[in-house]
Amino acid sequence: MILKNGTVLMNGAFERFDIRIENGVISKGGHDLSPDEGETVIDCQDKIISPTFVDMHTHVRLGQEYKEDPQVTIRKAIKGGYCALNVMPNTKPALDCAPMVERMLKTEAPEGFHIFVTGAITNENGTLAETEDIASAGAVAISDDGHWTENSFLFYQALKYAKKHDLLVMDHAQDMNLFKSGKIYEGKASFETGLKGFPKAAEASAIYRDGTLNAQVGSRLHITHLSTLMGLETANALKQIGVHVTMDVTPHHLIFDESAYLSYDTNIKANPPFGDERDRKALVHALRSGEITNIATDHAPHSEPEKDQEWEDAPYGIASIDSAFEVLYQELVTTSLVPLETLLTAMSTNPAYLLGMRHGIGIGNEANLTIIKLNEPHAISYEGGAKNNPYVGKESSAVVTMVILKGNVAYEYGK
Amino acid sequence: MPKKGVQQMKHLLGIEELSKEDILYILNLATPMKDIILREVKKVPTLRGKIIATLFYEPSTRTKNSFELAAKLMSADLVSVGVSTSSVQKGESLKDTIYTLEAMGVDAIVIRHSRNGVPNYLSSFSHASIINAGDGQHEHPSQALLDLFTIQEHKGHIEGLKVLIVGDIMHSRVAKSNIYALNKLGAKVVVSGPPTLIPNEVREYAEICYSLDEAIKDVDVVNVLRLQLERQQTGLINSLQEYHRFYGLTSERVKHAKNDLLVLHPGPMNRGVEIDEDVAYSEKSAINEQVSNGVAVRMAIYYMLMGGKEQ
Ligand SMILES: [Zn+2]
Repeated sequence: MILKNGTVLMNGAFERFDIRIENGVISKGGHDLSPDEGETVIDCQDKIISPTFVDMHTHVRLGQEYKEDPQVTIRKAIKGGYCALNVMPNTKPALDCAPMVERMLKTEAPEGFHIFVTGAITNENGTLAETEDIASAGAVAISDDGHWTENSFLFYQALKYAKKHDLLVMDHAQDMNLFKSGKIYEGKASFETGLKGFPKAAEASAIYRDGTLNAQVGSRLHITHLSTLMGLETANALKQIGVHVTMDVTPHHLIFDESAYLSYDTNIKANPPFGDERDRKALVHALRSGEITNIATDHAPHSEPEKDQEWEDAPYGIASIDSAFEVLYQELVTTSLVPLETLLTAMSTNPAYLLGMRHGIGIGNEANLTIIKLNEPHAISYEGGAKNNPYVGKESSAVVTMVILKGNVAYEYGK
Repeated sequence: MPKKGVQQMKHLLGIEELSKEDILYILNLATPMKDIILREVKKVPTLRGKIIATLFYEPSTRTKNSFELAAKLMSADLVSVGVSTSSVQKGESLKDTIYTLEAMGVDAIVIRHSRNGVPNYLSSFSHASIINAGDGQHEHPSQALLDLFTIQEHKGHIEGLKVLIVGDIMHSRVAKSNIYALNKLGAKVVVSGPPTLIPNEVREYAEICYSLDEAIKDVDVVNVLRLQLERQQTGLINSLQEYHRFYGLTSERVKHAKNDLLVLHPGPMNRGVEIDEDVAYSEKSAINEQVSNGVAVRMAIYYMLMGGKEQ
C-alpha cells in the first residue's frame, strides 16, 4: 500500500512524502514512490498523516458493560484515531491481581490495536496489590486512579516495586480528606451553584508528597489529569530539583473552566473538577511549552440513567475518546493556542513512549497511522455506547478520515 | 441570550437570574396579596382550576405550609406530596414523580430538595412551572423575596440601605438569595460570621466583617441565619457556646446598633445560639411578620407564573 502525497508528522514536524506499507510495517518513505502492480494507492493530498493516537488513561468497563461495552469503547477509540488504550484498574472486579491483568490483556481487538493495562496499587483490603505479579502478567503501569493512594508508606513501597519493573506510576493526585469535603473546586462556581467546594491545594499537596517520595526512589512518576495551576507549578518545581515527574492533561481540562458548572450539566461532571480560567490557560500554555507532554482522555463512560439525575448524585466522568482530537483541534489549533504538531505529538508518540510502545513514522515500525482532513467543517456525531460526551453536536473543522492499523484500513470516514 | 421579562417567566429557579425589575414586580404584587390575607374573607378565585403540587424532599413545615396556604387562598387545587426523608429517591424516580404529577395535570410544582440545582434540572424537562422552595446550598428565592418585602414595608425602600447578614454564609441558600437580591436592588450588604463559614467569593457581592460587634454598629437591617447545629461535628465551628459569644445576636450587641435596627430571621430559631430570645421578641424584630409576608409573597409568585397571563 502506498499513501501518496500526505503531509506527514515525523519527529514533531511536518514533511511531505509518500509512505509504503508492506506486511503491516512501514517499509519505505520517499518522494514520488511508484506503485507496484496491484498495489493499493491512497491519495493523501491535502491530508495530514499522524502516528495513531495512544490514550494513556481509559476506563474500559469490564464487568460494567451496561455503561459501555469494551468492544464499543475500542470501536469508538479507532474512530477517534487511536490504536492503543491504557486501561485503568477500576474495572469490576478490579485489575488488582495477575489473573485480572491477564484477562484484560486478552480483550478482543483488531490487529494492530494495543491494550495496555494499569494494575492497581492497593487492593480492597487497603494493602499493596501483588505488584510484582501484576508486572509479570504484563501490566505497564500501576495506579489507584479514581482515588489517591492515601497511605504514604504504601505509596513509597509501590514506587520501589515500580522502579524494579520499570512500571509507570500513574498518580491521581488529590488529597482525599479535602476531596471528600466537596464536589468541585472552591471558587466562583461553587459559590454560585451551591455545589460544595474543596480547595485546589488538594492536587498540589498530593503532587508534592508523591514527588518528594519519588525523589528518594527515582521511579517514573506520572501525574495524570492535571487540573490546576498550583499543581502544575508544584510538578515543575519538583522537576527543577531533579525528580522524575511527567504529566498529562485531559481534553476537558483544556476546554472547560468552572463556569461550565452553572448549567448543572451532568455530562461535564468530572473529577478532578475544572479550575478557573487561569488554571485552564496555564494548562494550555504548559501543553504548548512542553511542560505537559501528554493528552489523555480519561474516557469514562456512564449509562444514561446514571447521568440523568440530580447533579450531585450523578457519577463523575466524560466519555470523549471518539471526538477528543476533533474538539481539541477546534478549541486549540484553530485558535492558534497550540500548534497542530504539538497536539498530535502529545496524543500519539509521547504517550506511546511512556507506555514503552515503539511508535511513530519510521522504517520498520508497525504501520499505525491516522489520516486527518482539515477544513472539513462538520458537527461532531454520536458514535454509540455511552452518551456522556459533551462535544456531540459541536462544530469541528478537522476530521479523522482514515485509521490504518497494522497496514489495514480499520476505519474510513463516512463508510 | 435575551433576558425574559417577568411576563414570560415560566419557572422561578433563583434570584440570580432575575432582574431588578422582576424583583420589584413581585414585591409590588405582594402588597395587594397581603391585603387579601388581612381581609375577613381570605380567598380569591384567581387560580381556580389550576393545580399546584408541593414536593418536599427535605422536612420544612414552615415553607411547605406557607406555599400551601398561599395556593389555597388563591383557590388552586393542591397536591401535597410528602416525601419521607428516609426514602429520599434516586434520580429516576424524581423524574418519574414529575412525569406522574404532569400526567395528573399539575400546573406548578413547588420543589424543596437537598441537592443543588434540582429545580434547574427539573425545568429542563418539566412542562409544569417549577418553583424553587430551596435547593441545597444554592438558592431559596421565595425566602429572599419575603425578606425584602418585609424590609421594604419597614423602611419604605431597599436602595441605599445597609444590610448585615450574620452566620453560615457558605452553606446558606437564604444568604445567597438575599445577597443577590439586595445587590440587584442597590442595598449595601455586609456579612459576618466565623472565617470557616464565609466563602471568599462573597466579596464580589458583600463586605466581609468578621467582628459582629463592629459590623452591627451602622447597619439598618440585620438578618440572622439559622445555624445548622451539625456544623460542629464537621470541624467548621468549635462549639455552640463559642459561636454564641462571637456571633450571637444578643441584646447587648443590639444596644450598639442604630435605634431603628430591623431584625430578621428565616426561622426556625436556635435561641441562645445565633439569637437571644429577648432580641427575637423585641420591637425591633419582624420575625413574626416574616411569616405572614411569606404567604403574601408566595401568592405573588403564583400569580406571576400562572395567574397573570389570563387575567
Ligand atoms: Zn483519576
